[in-house]
Amino acid sequence: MGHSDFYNILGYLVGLRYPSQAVANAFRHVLGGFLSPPPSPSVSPYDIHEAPHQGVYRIMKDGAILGDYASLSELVSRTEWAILKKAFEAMPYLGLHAGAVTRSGRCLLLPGDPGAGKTSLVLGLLLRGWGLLSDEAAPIHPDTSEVHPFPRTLCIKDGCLGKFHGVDRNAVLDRPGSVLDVGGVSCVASRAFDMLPLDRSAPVGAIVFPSYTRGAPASLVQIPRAKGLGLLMRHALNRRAFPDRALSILGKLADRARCFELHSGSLEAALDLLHDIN
Amino acid sequence: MFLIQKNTLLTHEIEGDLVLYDPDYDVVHTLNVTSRFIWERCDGDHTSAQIATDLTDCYAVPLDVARRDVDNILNRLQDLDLIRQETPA
Repeated sequence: MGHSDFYNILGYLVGLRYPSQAVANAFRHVLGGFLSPPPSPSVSPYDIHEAPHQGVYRIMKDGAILGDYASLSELVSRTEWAILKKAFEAMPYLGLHAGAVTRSGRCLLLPGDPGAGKTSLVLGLLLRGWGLLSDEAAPIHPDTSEVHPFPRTLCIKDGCLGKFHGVDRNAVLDRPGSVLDVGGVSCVASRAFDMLPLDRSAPVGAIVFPSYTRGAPASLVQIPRAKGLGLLMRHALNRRAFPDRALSILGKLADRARCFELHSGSLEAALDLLHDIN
Repeated sequence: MFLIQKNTLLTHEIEGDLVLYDPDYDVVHTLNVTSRFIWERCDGDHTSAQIATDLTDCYAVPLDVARRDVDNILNRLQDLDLIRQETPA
């Protein structure tokens, strides 16, 4: 029990105490973008126990058993999800189901349903030199409508990482420690990329709603801001936490940003279209 | 019959369009310029016939076309529970 870390996820503080270096390395890879100095006052950590001969990891807090997991990948993925969910429920931000990247201090938002290609576009743009805010959930400040960093690891399905090598001009994915396989999912560490400090935020310059259809020609079409606002509301994760304000928060965001729909069946063609958007 | 907007809706104007959020159903609606023109006259002081007349005054639309468009849009707004009809007291 010699290793422990603290993570600050949008103000939600979590401590993890690890049983081994291997477990510590896995969590630091996945949650490394949120690593934080020990808080004062301290928070009660989650204790992870390992019984390799039984093939079980156990997670406990304050003496209570929270879960048993049969593998390291299951432990990491389930625990990460539970922590992020709690952090999101507690956060004072409006969350958007969106990827978010920055260039020249401005954010490109990529809201979309699962399968729309958010993570692929975010990773492709990062490999082309954009900075990371989030690949999945973008926290919007309710007063400024700016986007804060949410640098969870980027999860790419097994076997799909190869399609990024064509755009990985600086061989980021080949660097030691960039990618960790967690149960068949390639987790690309957020620290492999430029990242806005956790206490900063970025104004949104453009909002692109992507959709992916295999083999489809790439097109980027500007849409009315009102349509963009309607779509943004659809992708708000916790709009019921802001019943009177969600529309005005996202409205302020849409007032200032250009809105587009991106249709594509080719990652490289889509990335080319987004190159000058900000 | 007069027409009245649902009073729990939240609105945001953007580039001349109007976006409505209905917290009761957790649904967003976008009104274009014509729908917005009609919606804004659902204030308890206008009938559908008066709204159609206003539409012909503001836009170069024949009255029969305006009446048809207004009726269609009012029916749609009622279906979406965004307005209700009220009989004058």
